[in-house]
Amino acid sequence: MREDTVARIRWGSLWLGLAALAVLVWATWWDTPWGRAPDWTGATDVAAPMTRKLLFYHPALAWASFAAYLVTFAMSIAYLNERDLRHDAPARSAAAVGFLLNTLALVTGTLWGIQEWSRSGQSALATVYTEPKVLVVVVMWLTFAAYLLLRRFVDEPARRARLAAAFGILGFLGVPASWLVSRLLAKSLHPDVVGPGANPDAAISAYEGGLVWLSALAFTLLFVHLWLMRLRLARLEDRLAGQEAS
Amino acid sequence: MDDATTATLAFASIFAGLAGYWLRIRLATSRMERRLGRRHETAPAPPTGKGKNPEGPEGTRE
Repeated sequence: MREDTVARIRWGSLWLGLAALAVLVWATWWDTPWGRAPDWTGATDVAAPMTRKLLFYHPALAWASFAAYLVTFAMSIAYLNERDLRHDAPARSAAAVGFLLNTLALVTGTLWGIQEWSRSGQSALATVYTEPKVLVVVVMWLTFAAYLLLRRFVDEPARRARLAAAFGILGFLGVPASWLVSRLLAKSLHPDVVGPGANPDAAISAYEGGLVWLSALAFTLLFVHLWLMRLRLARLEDRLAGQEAS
Repeated sequence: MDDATTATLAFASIFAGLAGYWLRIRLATSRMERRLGRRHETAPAPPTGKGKNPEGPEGTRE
């Protein structure tokens, strides 16, 4: 793809993503012409009504990190298939952005879980980190942490790309696993709000559902922007390394 | 930790995390472009042919 087209996509995704995020923030906290601001104050089954507004941010962050890991997975397979270093920069850029989004999803999920899942006789943090879906996501996060770390410690480019591709493919397995685990295990505390197998007790209104989709759009666009930005930096790094080597 | 503090922490981490990463990449890209530009400027000029040699072709120096 031509460089000016990529630059247009890079900036377009930023401005569209920021616009979607601005509408989302507005609709989360204030009434809009399309509906009233979601408010769970006084709901008997909601322990923390303000933290519950993370419903419009936490799932979208997780989704965007999964999209990033999917890019890493696809590019890693392409690298192992063709042994062409051209595929390495998109893979490592997506992994870096996916790791950030995954970290933010874990932080927000932990804070939300501490508020909502407290059980008597067990610490809130222990409840969160013994939840099967959270455990799967933590393992995936650790695999991508290893992916990014090993890139720093292996000097030879082809060996580094090969090892990283193996970790990228392995790490991505956490995405389908985390999708399945809360749907298959009856004891899972983690609700699934949308998609097949969503919990009936996690049902939300049509307006709230619209906001969940808007948040998915906003964070996907922001992921595209960050990925293309990181990719540009990765290509500059490769160019400098090539010049220093020659 | 109460509900308001948890919500504030969570939302602050989202926006600070995204903005911080964006800024970090932007600064790193500018730094890299400067380094590549400097290398380009200090690299020896490629041979441009006898007529453009500032010292003149062999045998023509005064």
